[in-house]
Amino acid sequence: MRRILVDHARASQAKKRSGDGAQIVLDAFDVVPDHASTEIIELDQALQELEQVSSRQAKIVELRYFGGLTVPETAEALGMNPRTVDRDWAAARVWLRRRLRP
Amino acid sequence: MTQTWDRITALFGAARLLDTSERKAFLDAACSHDAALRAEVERLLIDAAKDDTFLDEPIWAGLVSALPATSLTAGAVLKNRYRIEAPVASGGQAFVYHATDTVLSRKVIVKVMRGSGSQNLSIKARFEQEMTALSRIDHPGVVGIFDVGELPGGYPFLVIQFVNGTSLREELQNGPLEGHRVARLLRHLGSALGAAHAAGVVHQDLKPENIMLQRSDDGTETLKLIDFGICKVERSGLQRGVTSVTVAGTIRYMAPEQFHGEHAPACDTYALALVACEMLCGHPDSRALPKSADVETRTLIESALAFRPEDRPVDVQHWCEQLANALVKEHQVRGRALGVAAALTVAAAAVTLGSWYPPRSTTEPRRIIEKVGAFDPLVEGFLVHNEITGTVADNPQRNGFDGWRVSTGRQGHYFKNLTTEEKRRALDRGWRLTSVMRLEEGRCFTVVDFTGVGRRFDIDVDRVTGHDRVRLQTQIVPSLEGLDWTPAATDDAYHVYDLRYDPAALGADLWVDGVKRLTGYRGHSQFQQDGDLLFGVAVFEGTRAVASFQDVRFEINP
Repeated sequence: MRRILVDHARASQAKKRSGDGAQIVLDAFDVVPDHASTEIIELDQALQELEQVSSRQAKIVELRYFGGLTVPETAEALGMNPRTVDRDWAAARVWLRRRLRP
Repeated sequence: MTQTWDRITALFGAARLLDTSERKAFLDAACSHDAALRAEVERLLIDAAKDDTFLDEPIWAGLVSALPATSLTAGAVLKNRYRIEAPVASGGQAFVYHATDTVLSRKVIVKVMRGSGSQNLSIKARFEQEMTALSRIDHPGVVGIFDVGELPGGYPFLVIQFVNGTSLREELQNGPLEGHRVARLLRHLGSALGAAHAAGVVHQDLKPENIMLQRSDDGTETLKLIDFGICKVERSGLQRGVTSVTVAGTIRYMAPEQFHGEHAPACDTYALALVACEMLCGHPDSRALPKSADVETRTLIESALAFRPEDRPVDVQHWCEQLANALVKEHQVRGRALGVAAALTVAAAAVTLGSWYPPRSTTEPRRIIEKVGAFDPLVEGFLVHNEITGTVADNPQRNGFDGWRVSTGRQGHYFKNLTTEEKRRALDRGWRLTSVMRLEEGRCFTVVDFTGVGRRFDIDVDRVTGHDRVRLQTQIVPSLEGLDWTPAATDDAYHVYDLRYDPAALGADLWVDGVKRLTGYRGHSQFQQDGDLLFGVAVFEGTRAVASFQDVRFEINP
């Protein structure tokens, strides 16, 4: 889902730049405001950096934010303790917030 | 850096559970020699406590709230007839309310689309689709549509039959269902879905939440399918000239092709098979079916979970009947066997009868530890080592995607750990590591590593100047160079690499596309990387490695 959204965001920006005619519309998301595409791409880049710092935390963000999983579901998916997931999630949010909204 | 952030996170995790004074004492002790570390942990505690909605909602929640929206308050009357009582829920595209039809004095559901039709033609078109779809189906197992209308501003609304009952999701909170009941429900589901498909309607979002169970006065149980909210009507010719890919639905029950926006009836068959698994064993996963499950039951369920929609049963109603019959038969056989057991040992039989289809015991290792398919390995619970990117790979026929395409500029893999118990059983009983992979550049590999037991088994496929070479490990110590085999011709098709370990021979044989190519591979003890079960790509005499993985599977012999 992360890939789909990020690719879509990139495609919609590329489309704006090139103005070409081949239009691919993810119509569930076709009313996403312009700034949202930029945010998705920036978040994707920040997540790639977080992966280098803690691949586990990046994974948790991906499942929680892009996948919509709850903390217990994320814990189950990764075979982790829910408390650890909750802790990592809190830390990862701070890490990303510092990176994206300094 | 990595270690520092992990350490900061760990200390933060412990400290946040403490009150102010305990926290101070804890940090005094934990960071006594490292003021910088302490400062970072404290900064993290402060930042994390900030009231902020950053990433608080999943990404689509934000997307939905970006839609133009409208809402109604209790007491509002639509079309001089439907009085809004209370909100039920707000889904992705609609606000849903309890309401009263004041003319017929009955409860109804009013569903108001979030988007104004005058502002967004796609929402209007979708609404009209749903209306057409529902009105085309006339079946007691499908929720009925009573009326339609439009609010000021162009927000369309539907008036839908109120379905009293409990959802299958609520019912499953109490654990798996008894086999006969699953059979009965499957027959109802097959009949309702069959009617929808016959009317050219695909539900697309079948899940326990959307199946309402009702019990009539005489005690018989029926059900209704609700929430055809993202229905796509065949042949409706929506949005000509635009390639439209609708990705909606609940990921867990979505068929692989739905991620590419394909919504043939086969996706309902797929979802229904997962719902059947969940009714039987509590998990929407065929791997969770108990070992004791009947072969016919298992085969039927797996056939409906085929990766390619065209490989699934065509007639969902017929499939439901077959599965229901298999379950009834299985239950009868089991009932007779248990009858004998009961005569012998009453206590044991009582335990067994109490949960005819028990959820999988957590102490019993799964036979198939992992399967990747074209799903994102991360979703399958794998983690990433090193730089690696994954995308879905199209198949040559262009009728969907059929592999997970992995690329890297150095080396990267997905990995997963096995438990000690699983490793022990694997080496005791034998195992099988199967990979269906397609190498484009560099090297691809699949590995099972029994860390702690001291042996590791690799399947490496290399491409060097147009030649493929298949090796069973290698590396570091030249004298330990492994076995290798060179295929007659190079191609970039998918091949099945199947490494089977025989505990009696203490060695493994490699089968490629069903032909035994190498024998007597005893593994090696070099290298221990992240994870025990891994697959990925590595640069080999080039700058890039690319391979697609259709399936990676590790099975322990029963």
